[in-house]
Amino acid sequence: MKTRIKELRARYGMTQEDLAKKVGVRRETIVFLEQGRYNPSLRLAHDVAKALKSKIDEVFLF
Amino acid sequence: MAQKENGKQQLIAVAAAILVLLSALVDARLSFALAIAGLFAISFLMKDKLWRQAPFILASIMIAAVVVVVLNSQGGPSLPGLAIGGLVGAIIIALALYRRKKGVVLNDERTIAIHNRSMAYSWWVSYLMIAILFWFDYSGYMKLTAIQFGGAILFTMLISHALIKRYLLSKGDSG
Repeated sequence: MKTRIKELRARYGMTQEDLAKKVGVRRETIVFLEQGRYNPSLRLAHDVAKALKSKIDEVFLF
Repeated sequence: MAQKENGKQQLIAVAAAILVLLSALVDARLSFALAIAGLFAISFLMKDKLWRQAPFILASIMIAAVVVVVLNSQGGPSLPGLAIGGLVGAIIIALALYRRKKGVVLNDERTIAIHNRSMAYSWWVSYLMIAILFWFDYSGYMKLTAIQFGGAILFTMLISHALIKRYLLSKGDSG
């Protein structure tokens, strides 16, 4: 699954570590999410979208 | 709602404690085994963090104590050897606790899913190993003692779990 996490993260000047702390996951999970190698649960997708002040379908491109 | 949940937790804990005490009247070993099983059950059933972690740690210590007693009674590894193993384990746990205290997230939904998946795979690998060893022994190709058989299964499970987990972690997902 493609995501816009990297782009949105850069917009808000957030590091992977910052985002990971904000949503309560390991930094590696953010790395895999950005690379599209991990399909998150709906809850995590919601938390990431919320942290990036966006809607889920704006962050995760199905 | 939380109060109701706490009440339920305490009721289960009290019931488990009574069961253990009653079993002590029958047999001390049964009581010990039930105590371990009860603590694990409490740990898995409870929602509250303390109620989940404390019984799990206590049950693990009790199992470790049993292993030490069994190994010593059968002339297994020496006590200094076990002490070194214990020290290494303590250091690993201390490091994990230190990282957690620093706010590092050690486990999330991805790592938990990977852990569970690798456990399932390692169970299958161990099952295969049991089948192979059983037929080797049955056909007379090799004769194994119980300790050799148990050791082979134990290490197959441990090593296959570690390897599969490492592979899935590098892959990124459990699927």
